[in-house]
Amino acid sequence: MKNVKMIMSTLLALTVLLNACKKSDIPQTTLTVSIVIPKTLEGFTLKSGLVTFKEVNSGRVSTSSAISNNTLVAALQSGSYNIVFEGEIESTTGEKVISKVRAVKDGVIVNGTNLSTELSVFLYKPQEGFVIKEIFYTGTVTKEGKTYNGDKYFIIYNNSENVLYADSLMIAESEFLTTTKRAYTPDVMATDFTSKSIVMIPGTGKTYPVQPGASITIANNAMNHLVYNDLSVDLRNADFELTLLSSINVDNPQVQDLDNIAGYMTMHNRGFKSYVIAKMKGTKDNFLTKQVYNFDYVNSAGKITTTTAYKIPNSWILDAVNLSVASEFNWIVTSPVLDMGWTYCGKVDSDATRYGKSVIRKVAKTETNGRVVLKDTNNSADDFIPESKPSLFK
Amino acid sequence: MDIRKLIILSVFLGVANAYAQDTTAHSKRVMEQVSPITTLLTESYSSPSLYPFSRKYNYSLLAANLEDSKRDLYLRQEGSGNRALRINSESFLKNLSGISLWGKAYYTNEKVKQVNFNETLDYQYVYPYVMADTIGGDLNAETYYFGGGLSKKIGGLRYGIQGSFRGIQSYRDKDPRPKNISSDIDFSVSVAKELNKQRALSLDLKMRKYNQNNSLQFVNELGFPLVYHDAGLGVYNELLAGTRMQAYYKGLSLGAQLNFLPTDLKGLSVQLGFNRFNLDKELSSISTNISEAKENHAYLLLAYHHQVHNHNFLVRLKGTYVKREGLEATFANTGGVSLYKVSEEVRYEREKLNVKLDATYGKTAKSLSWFLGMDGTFGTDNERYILPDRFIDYQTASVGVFASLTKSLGKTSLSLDMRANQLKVLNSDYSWSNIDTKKGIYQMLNTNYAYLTADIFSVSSSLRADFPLNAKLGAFAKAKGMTTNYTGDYKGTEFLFSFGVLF
Repeated sequence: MKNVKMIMSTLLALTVLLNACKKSDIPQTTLTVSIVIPKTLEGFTLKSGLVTFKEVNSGRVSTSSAISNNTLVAALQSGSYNIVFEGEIESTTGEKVISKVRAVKDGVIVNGTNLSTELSVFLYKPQEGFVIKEIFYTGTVTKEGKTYNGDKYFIIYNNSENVLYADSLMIAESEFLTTTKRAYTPDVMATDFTSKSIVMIPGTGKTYPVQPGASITIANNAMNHLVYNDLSVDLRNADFELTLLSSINVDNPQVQDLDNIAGYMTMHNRGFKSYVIAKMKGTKDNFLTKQVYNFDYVNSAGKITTTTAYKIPNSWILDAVNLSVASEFNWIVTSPVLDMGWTYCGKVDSDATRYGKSVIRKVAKTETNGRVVLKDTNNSADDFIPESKPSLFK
Repeated sequence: MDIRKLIILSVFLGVANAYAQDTTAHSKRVMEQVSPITTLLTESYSSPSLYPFSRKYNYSLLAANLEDSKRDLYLRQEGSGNRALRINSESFLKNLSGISLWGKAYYTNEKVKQVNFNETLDYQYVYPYVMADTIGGDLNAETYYFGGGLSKKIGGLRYGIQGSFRGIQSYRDKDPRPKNISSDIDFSVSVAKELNKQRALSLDLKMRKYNQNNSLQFVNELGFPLVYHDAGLGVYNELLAGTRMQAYYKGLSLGAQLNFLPTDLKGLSVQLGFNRFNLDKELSSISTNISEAKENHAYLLLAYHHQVHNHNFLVRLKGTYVKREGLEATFANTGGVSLYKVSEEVRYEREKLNVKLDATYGKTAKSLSWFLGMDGTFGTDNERYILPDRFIDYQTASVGVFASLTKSLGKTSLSLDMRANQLKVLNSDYSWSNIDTKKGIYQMLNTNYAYLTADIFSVSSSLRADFPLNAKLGAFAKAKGMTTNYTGDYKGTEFLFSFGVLF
């Protein structure tokens, strides 16, 4: 027995020794991040900020605010990083002005010993006006477990203290998917939003006033869906109605139809597309002529695909909401100036739990007069409650 | 001709061949077949050139086995047990002055119970790089195996070759629906020198080619869960998770083995071997490997068999050391057709050491043969993932005893085996604190750890009856039962019923 114990002890000691000798060093890259203040912000200097690094393979997130002379040095494991900067700049001359700025750079490949990259900041100045309050894009499921469409809707909210008019307000769905990153040529994302599905609220300019704190509902089919599906919603009281493909369109003559500027607004029910609201400048014909966007990309077979869509200038856009699912997310398909995050219903592609859920904008505050102000920081990840119970459902 | 017909044909040829051979007495063949000494020594004689020396008597058998096993505690990726039907055929024809031949073929149809967090076949080969989801379920599998070898003395040297093919297909009839096909081709060549009438030395070179096509589908129109590619201890690459449901595994193993063996089954035998196994995993939409496993496997087998008249004493020491490293690629989505490979690093490591000592004493006689034996095993297992840091580390020791009794009752011989084994965990530790405790992966890691670090007591018993049908042909039936108790009042049971003919 003594010998057995001795053998066991020796084997255990050997095991401990083998384990102690292991190395687990993973090489790191020294990344130098330069925060660049563009010429348009001349006269300002960087005051403070926080840089967030997210490695997309592992999901690891690290942050640092150790910025010196507009430069931050970080030691990172190799990988592909999405880098976000949020900070403040202050004026160097005249009256002291402090402004919030942001910068975003996606897909920074970190490998090797040393690497440097630049982040060019832009002003973050949220405006009051129309915002997208809710998007119910997933549809519903019947008691029998079948999918049910036609009960999707948008709610647009007047987040200002003034009466606004919804006339010529466009809703556009992104042509690009947040789940498929491609190098589109020419790349206009910094200046325009690309879409093939654009609808617009008609009117002469002051036909559809929206009071401060009031909202308008745009239904797919403005009908009582509860007749066909107990788990759906009655949308007869919607303010507007979409005109869908004839095979799935049900027209309610009591509800004003939107104009289809381009294509049909079917709403991607897995949440791979993004949405903007924008004010049309000029006529529909003018838009369809002047805002044509011809672009090409390398398709999955390695061939060049050339296609056409429309581009909505970022300067027309009042609000943007990027949607995606965590397992498939590749990129946001708007300029980060419009929206630098994304929200969701479902965590994976074709998530069976997504049905009957919507994304709803958070409440920022309630004014003394009772007007509710919704949160709008141009970051849908922060501004929205994902996977919410649709507000029109009972 | 489909593969089942091939098996039936090979079995028929085996039977016909056996009838043509000049056989020794059936009873001697049975005694050799059921002897614990044969069981313990066969592994030492795996060298193709010296395999004919592993037994004294020729034999062929055709058997059908029914198996059912169930465990409360188990490795989630491997399942909680199985229910299987196996048709098995073996033949061993010894001709030391001519060509010795042997072969084996089997077909298995089984249901593997409760396979979770793994939609890939052959977990023991491809781990940790399996395609996974949190649902899983029972898995249907069919296995086809053909193998054989020959050995011949030419001049002063004895040459041997051996090859085998094993194909498995697995599937599930409800979501998630894996459809996997794996092939495993083994080939070895061997050359031996008979040093004298009792001793021989041989060198074997071995090669194994492994492939698997692993695909997964869901048909539920409402959707499906996250499909991910495990990189070890529940870690996965978020960029590759989602709907990438087509994977390919390509493996190659090269090895060498040195053998020093007695040609009369008596005395010292030594076997020393080394295998290097490389496995690549690819996904259909990515042009480069997403991960690679590199495994070194070294082993030493020493045995000494002392036989005087009808007394047998055998002591055997076996040590194995396995080290597996997993290299994992990181990618960037640059908007191109495929993901861009940024780097590749060793992120997964596993080291296993196992030392087992067997000692058996027995006495053989015409009317009654008996054997008593015991074994002791020491094992260590250290598995870890680097960044996020996770590990499982444990050491175990086990002691087993067995008794075997073979009694002739007229022309029938009855063999009774009884075995008991107690495994104790000497030391264990783990860490995966960096994981959401609500996630299924966290539960999986905890239940796997509970299984790996449980004290286990098992008792098994089997009864086999052999009876001659004529001078050359005998039939047998065997029933075996095993019960296992794990720490925490978990239990396991295993039943096997086998019947066949031996000639």
